Amino acid sequence: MIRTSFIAWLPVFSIAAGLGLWELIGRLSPPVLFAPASAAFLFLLHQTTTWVLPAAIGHSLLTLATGYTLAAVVALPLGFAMGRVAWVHELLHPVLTGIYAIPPAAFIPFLIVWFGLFAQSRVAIVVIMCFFEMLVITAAGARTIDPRLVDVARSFLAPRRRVIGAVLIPASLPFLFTALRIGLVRAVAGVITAELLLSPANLGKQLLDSAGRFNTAGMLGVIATVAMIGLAAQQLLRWLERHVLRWERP
Amino acid sequence: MSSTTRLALRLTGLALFLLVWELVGRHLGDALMAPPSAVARELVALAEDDQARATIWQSIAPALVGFAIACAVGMPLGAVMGRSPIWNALLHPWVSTFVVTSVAAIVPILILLIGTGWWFVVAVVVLSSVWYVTLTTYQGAVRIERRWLDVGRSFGASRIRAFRTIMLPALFPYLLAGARIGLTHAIRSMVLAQLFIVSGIGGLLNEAGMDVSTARLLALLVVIMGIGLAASHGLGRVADWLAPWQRGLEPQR
Repeated sequence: MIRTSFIAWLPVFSIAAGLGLWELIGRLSPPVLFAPASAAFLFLLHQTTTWVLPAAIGHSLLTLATGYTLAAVVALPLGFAMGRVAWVHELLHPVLTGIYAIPPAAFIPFLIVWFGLFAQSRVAIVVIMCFFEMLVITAAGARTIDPRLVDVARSFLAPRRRVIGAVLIPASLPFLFTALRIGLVRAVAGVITAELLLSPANLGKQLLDSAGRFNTAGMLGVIATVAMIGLAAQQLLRWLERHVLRWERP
Repeated sequence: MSSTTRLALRLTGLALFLLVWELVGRHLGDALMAPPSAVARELVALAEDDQARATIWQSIAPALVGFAIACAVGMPLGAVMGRSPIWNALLHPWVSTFVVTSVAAIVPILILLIGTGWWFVVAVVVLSSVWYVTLTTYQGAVRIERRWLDVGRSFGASRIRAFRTIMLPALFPYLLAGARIGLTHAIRSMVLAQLFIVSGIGGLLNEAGMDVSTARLLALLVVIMGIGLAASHGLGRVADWLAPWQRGLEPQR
């Protein structure tokens, strides 16, 4: 009993120790190289009270939501069709595997040609970063739906629409949530990449402005913010998954 | 579906894609979307360009070194986390934070800390791929059942022998999956890092982006695609050679 509660508290201890180590390294090294955790926190606090940080996060999240929604609306149905219909899979698989093998960042010069340096291009990068990830996971999941489930519905002469509504969609929810979760985390990475590599904007601009002034406290603060957004995105989807998929819970 | 129909469908898909691209390319013009015929010509030119070839080879080297470091660190780390609840409790919060943190955000401070040399690309590659290798290995190590290790212990197997004959074979599919995911991220972050400091492949891409025609840019994308496909294919071959028994065992993500 004592042992289990000891292990349950270890992550908290580990995070505290890590922050302590960050503080220590920051205090010992010159401020142009590495700032302590407290300095990063004070920077974030200052940026929050002047509304610079909340505005940047808000604009970043808007780009994120637009690109992510666009990608999900196409990727999930297409992936589902690829997973369930054999000829669609064979037709699209080689081309999509090829495009998926190209690192998303490599598209940036091409996207600049098409969409310029600003908001449209940022959304396009977010779409490319998360679209293929969601497509691949959905297609793989839809292929592995237990055929016995569909057979039961067929043997009771369920019409096609009912097979989809009562069997296929509930059976797909687990991997659809996986696709949405991994896609969202990738989309967060896409926003930051876009804001740094195109014309600097929002959080990326904060990061590059801090870099330009050798303000390592600012840089580390923004990195911590990005990490928190990534974690929050993942936890949000995990929470949603637990609520929707009550029957999957152990 | 027979394998001939399958092959026919795949080739049709590829042919349709190239046809649509060619038509769209001709309609829009080279400045917006060069057609495959123009891209193919540019690919030949790229293959004959010694300097570009050398640049591409030199760009791949730090990605491979970074990937090797990520495997050397991530695999033991994941195995330890999977087998020891205490280490897992200590390390898991950090690993799962870093895995969702975009490596792009860390790039500016890395430039400040280690400059923009060869090791910068290595560092970016390591920092982006090591977490995936660790977490996938962890998934495998958690699934090793106590009973299997107990059998070894009952027969008096030494720790080293138990590791080599029980844990390693059970982990292998996960090590392979982790390496494959890690390699994908290594190549992605290699391109990202080089785009950032405008050198290597990133420099070539940037330069091609300034061209009036997009043919060279698209040709470079095809080259990068080839590198990615070749790397993951090569990894599969190495795995088959190392452990022929595990073919087809690789877990789905």
